[in-house]
Amino acid sequence: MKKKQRIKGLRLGYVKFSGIGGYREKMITELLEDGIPVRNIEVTEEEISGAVSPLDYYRVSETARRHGVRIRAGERRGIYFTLSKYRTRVGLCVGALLFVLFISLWQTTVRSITIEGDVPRSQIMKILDECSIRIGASTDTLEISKAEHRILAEVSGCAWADVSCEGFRVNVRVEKGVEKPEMEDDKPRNIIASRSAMIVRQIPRMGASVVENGSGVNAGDLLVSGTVPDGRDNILFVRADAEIIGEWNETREFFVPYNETISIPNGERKVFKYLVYGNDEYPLFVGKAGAENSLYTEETRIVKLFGQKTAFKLKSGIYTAYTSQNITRSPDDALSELKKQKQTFEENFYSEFDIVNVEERFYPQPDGIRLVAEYTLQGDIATPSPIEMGDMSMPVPPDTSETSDN
Amino acid sequence: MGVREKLIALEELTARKSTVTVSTDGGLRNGAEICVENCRCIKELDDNFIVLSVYGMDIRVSGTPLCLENFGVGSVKITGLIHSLTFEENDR
Repeated sequence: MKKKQRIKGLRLGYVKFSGIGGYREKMITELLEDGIPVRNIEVTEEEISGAVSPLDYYRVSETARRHGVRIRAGERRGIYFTLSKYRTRVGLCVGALLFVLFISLWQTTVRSITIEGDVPRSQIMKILDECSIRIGASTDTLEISKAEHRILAEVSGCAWADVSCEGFRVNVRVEKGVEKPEMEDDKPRNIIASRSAMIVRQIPRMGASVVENGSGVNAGDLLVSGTVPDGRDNILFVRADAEIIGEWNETREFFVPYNETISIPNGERKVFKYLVYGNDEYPLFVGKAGAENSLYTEETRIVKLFGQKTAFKLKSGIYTAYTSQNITRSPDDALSELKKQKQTFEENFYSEFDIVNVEERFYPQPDGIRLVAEYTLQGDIATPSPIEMGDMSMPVPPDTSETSDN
Repeated sequence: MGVREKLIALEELTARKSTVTVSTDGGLRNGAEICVENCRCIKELDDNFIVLSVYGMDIRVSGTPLCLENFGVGSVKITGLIHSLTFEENDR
């Protein structure tokens, strides 16, 4: 049995032909001279057979006719004939064309922006937006290198930035460098007072203390000196280090009116929904999301289909408008509001200090209540100050100077 | 000799050189493949004999069954169980 041979090299397909009579050799020679590839030419006593590309069959038949060979086409195979079957299906052709058009157009605009790296997303998005890189922008107009330079220049600690556009997706990768460790400076220094206070206690670790407990100091006064005598009329410069706890008083005033106009987010609600798949978000609305003078909140829930969870999520961005409201407080409400204000202030500004005592005095006024709070605070008032090399003054403890005078 | 004549001579020179490559994949019994470049014409074509004409020589291939393929201008490939390959001088 004759082995069936595979026909190679004819990408669009092939037409097998067989022919009888005529000058077969001349026909093949002419095809050879014309460079028409003919595969599997087999010759028996009566007939010649072979396979050619469907695009070359017409020329082969013409050549055969010239040399008296009567040929007929046999088996036809390949993508050329597969596609030919559908040439009358207009819907399929239009669909394929639209698909190609859709893919082509889809790739001409940015549909997704992905940001990788531990960087503030809002800052990166703002830079990208200013470099014409935004959802819906044409991929031809993206200023990619400008965006990279701006990210490098504007994002703090940014060591490397890469912005690339692949199809309709823009990928931003930002790498931060390892921050330089804080090196302990070994230059000699003094410790001075950061504020006016009374010294309560002190823990000197290095250097010579020049203040005593119970004494008062002004801001900038020397507390611990970095110039220390070694007992042999020499001066050593050291790096003074100490914890100096001082005590001081501060007076703060708080006021709460009985009548006040405040803004409360209970106005009109605008909800913008997005369909989320992976890192991609598809807006389910027309126009731009946003509302002025509003509180923004976000809710995300998984989309379920017939009770089964899907890979899609539905994100709702809710903008609730602020509205102005007049409120009237009773004296008790005003007092509790005052205490709330005072507590918030202490948490924000006195968290580093110990509050030793607070004297509160309330002053009722026609339009509200005023609270005057006198704080007695304790905290570390030591602050380092480098020694100027021209400053060679020796620490002079109070008792030592009196002894020397005597 | 002008440039035109030189170019024609150069073209003819390349046409005078013909390469015959015989490759046997796993022995002659499993079939062989003969590639002939710069083939001028096919003189005889039969199931068992193929005679190709190259410059100054005829190449006679005998075998069973022989299958001919052409690839590109002037290049042919003969596959099949080759019995003999003969080179005969011709008048040109």
